[in-house]
Amino acid sequence: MIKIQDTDIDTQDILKKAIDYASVKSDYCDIRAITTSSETSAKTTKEESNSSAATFGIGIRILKDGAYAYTSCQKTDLKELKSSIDKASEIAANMGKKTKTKATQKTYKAITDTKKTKVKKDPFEIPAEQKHTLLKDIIRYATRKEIAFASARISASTARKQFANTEGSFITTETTKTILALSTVAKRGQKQTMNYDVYAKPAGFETFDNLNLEQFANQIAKKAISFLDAVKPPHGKMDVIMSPAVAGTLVHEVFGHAAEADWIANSRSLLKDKLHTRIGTDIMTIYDDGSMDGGWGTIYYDDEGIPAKKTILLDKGILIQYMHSRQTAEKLGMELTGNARAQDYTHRIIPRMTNTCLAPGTHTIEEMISMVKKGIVVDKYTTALEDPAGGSFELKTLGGNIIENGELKEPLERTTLSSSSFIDTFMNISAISKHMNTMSTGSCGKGHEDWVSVGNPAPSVLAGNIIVGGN
Amino acid sequence: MKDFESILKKNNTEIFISETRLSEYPIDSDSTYTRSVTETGYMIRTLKDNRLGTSTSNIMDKEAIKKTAQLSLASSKHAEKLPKSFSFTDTKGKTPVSGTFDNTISKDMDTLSANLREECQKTAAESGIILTNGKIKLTEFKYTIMNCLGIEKTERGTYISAVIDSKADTKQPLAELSSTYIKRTYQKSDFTGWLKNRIDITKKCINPQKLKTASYNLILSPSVAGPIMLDTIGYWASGKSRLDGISLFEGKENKAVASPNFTATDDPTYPDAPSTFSIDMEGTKTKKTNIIKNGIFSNYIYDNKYASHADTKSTGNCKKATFMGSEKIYTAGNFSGMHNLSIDQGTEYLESLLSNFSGIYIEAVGIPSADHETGNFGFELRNAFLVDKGAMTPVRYAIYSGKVQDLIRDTKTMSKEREIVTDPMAPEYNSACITPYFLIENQKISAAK
Repeated sequence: MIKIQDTDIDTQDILKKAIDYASVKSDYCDIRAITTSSETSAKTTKEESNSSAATFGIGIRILKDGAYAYTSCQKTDLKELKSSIDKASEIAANMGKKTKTKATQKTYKAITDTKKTKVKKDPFEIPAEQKHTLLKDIIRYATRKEIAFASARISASTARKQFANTEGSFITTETTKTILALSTVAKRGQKQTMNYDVYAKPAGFETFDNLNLEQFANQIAKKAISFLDAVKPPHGKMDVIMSPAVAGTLVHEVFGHAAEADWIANSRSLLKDKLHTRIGTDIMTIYDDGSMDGGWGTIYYDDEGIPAKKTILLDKGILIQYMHSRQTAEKLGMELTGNARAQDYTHRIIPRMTNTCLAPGTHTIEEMISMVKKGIVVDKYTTALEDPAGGSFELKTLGGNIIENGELKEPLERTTLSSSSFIDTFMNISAISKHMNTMSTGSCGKGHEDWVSVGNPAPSVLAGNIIVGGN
Repeated sequence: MKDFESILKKNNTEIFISETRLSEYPIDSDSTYTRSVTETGYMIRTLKDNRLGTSTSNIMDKEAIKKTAQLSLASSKHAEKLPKSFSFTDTKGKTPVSGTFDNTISKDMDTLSANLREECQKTAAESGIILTNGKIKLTEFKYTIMNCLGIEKTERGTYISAVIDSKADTKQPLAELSSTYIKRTYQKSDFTGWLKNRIDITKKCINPQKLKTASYNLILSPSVAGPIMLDTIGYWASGKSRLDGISLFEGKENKAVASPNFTATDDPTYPDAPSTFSIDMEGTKTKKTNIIKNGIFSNYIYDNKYASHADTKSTGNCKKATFMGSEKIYTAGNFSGMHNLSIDQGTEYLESLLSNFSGIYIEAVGIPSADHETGNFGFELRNAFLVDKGAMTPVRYAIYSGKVQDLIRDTKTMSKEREIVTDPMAPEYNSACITPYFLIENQKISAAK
């Protein structure tokens, strides 16, 4: 049995002393002490492994003379923390001298709280033998004629954050996540195709209590084999039915990033100056909710100590709010939304999505297919990229079918979707399904790094005017 | 180091330790932050009964190191049994620091990165360009490998990287270009020259036109061609994908996989490239390896583990790839991967190619990636130009899809100049590609009209 949670370090007293020290060195300071533990068990057709990781670090952020500075250290040692605070104070002051636009922020009420993911079966208490038995079963279920390779892993992680700031807040959050992932490669002669899926929850090992492993593996393997007979997608503009996974990613990438208020504040978003205007059809309502029970992007409090909450961003097609950090809320004169997030203790805190949801509609998927004369339906996304400045998008998908005269035709493997403007896409969404996918797990980078966990629960959508190409 | 050495004495063990210091400034004038952080961490690998266990941590006290070693040993129980030929790197003795190290970068990183930010803003303002997003990042790194066979080897180096998004107008949607600069040493003229070149291209992207769905001749820039070559050739030549039985080079040893004018080499000695190292990440001396020579597939690349599976020796290609930021390199698992994939140049410069060309020149796309299993790719054109005998019109809102196997077989010609490109998400340490521009004829473009 491998148990690594006891690497936690109690840092509360030292953090409070460090905050006292920082209060005279800065206009504002927050400190985040983050302890992480993780364990991954993996098995492929050819290999097997088990690995563990434990990290600890403290991120210090100081606001001084109109600029923020970030430093970090890896010990709960007051002398080292003071040295990191001194350095942050010095480089913030230097930055402040060279910055025309000064950063400011309001003072908020101090909060003392502790929040923790509900865990019934601690994944670190589950013997590695049990996880490997499960992995052997899933590889066996996936293995069959024409499956050349299968790879499965079970990962569990816990992150404990202790947050303190010069307003007097002290907040502890602990999140646990458990993941099962399987990918399979099908092969016929020189042709290869891949399919994958992930089953995960912000919970303990009880995540898998109701999972039918054989069915899960069977579906993934069968689909990979079916792609061997898939056709290339048609080219050009057409109607596209996006599954909940693809629709959720579309909303996240094209709308969500453009509604992060730092892009608004520095005039890099197509949504700047669009508040209280229509940018989508009246069947579209989008909200971000970091407080959602069981969401992959649920955070309880953001990395500035602000409570996470549900924020309606798009109300029946009308843009009504952006997602904020303390700095952007102050700069744009808007309410805080609890969306300030950082990858870890060495990274900066910026406005980010949490669980960004598209509200369900009224159609069945069958009704939506019957509405399409010529188009495609797509199943899953593989990668996607935002373009808040230009308003276009690139969405790569896996699986689906061609649709002709309201009927499903040949299967598709990989497709690339794009548009000249996501506002044009949103104005061409004519149907949204009743069914909504609530188990949505993702990891999102912004620009070129700064990775955070996000959820994108969504129903299926029917969108017109999408540029379709192969992949 | 003493705490680590006591573990080496007890077990059949290898320890990888990375130390990273970085300074980051935002590139745009509206951002008001700076970041100056350090990170040290380690990975312990333990071999027991020919099974390899792994554990990582960044907690440096004696007890944590001991615990991490115990976890590594325990995890070996659940690893597959490796061939008897497997061992850690066994060239004994210490090596002096030998990486590309630039004191100009390392000396006062915070001041240099602040100065570079000012240089960028000044150059952009003089050119009528606004920098909308991005950062200057200076990194100093050191990694040390110690193992039970007596080696203690250290590699040290520096990086200067800049990611810039720049806009040339204020109308929505913006004409924006995203670019990445990555070098191991700093030369002001080189950096400023690169910046001015990116600004010139950004200015040409204003008011893009819509294309028609049709077939076109294409010129692909290094930032488009390089990443898809790494994704596919790098993957198919890897000892891991050979073991997994999913390399598309399987059964093609010494056979044609590309046109006779296509030669690709893994070159960990290339000056100033991101992945130029004298030792790999398990301490094996690196060397050049021919991958494709005149169109013929020549060699796979290996680390110690995958070499043992193939009953051969490591080619010095143990890599750790991470997208979580270069400072967390110690957390990334080992695999057999490319250092710098160097593709041989052609005979004509880009300017000459463009002067006689009718088609689309693609400078940047959404995500330049290709699918490992199939070689297929598809991406949105972000910065592209319709070219007709030297005249260039900006175009957008289109998708180019194809297959890497076709690209390396059917490319008509490649340019004389080459550029170093890497993954913008984590440019330091990771595999890089040194590649020319590619000219390929009659390719399908799916577009808005």
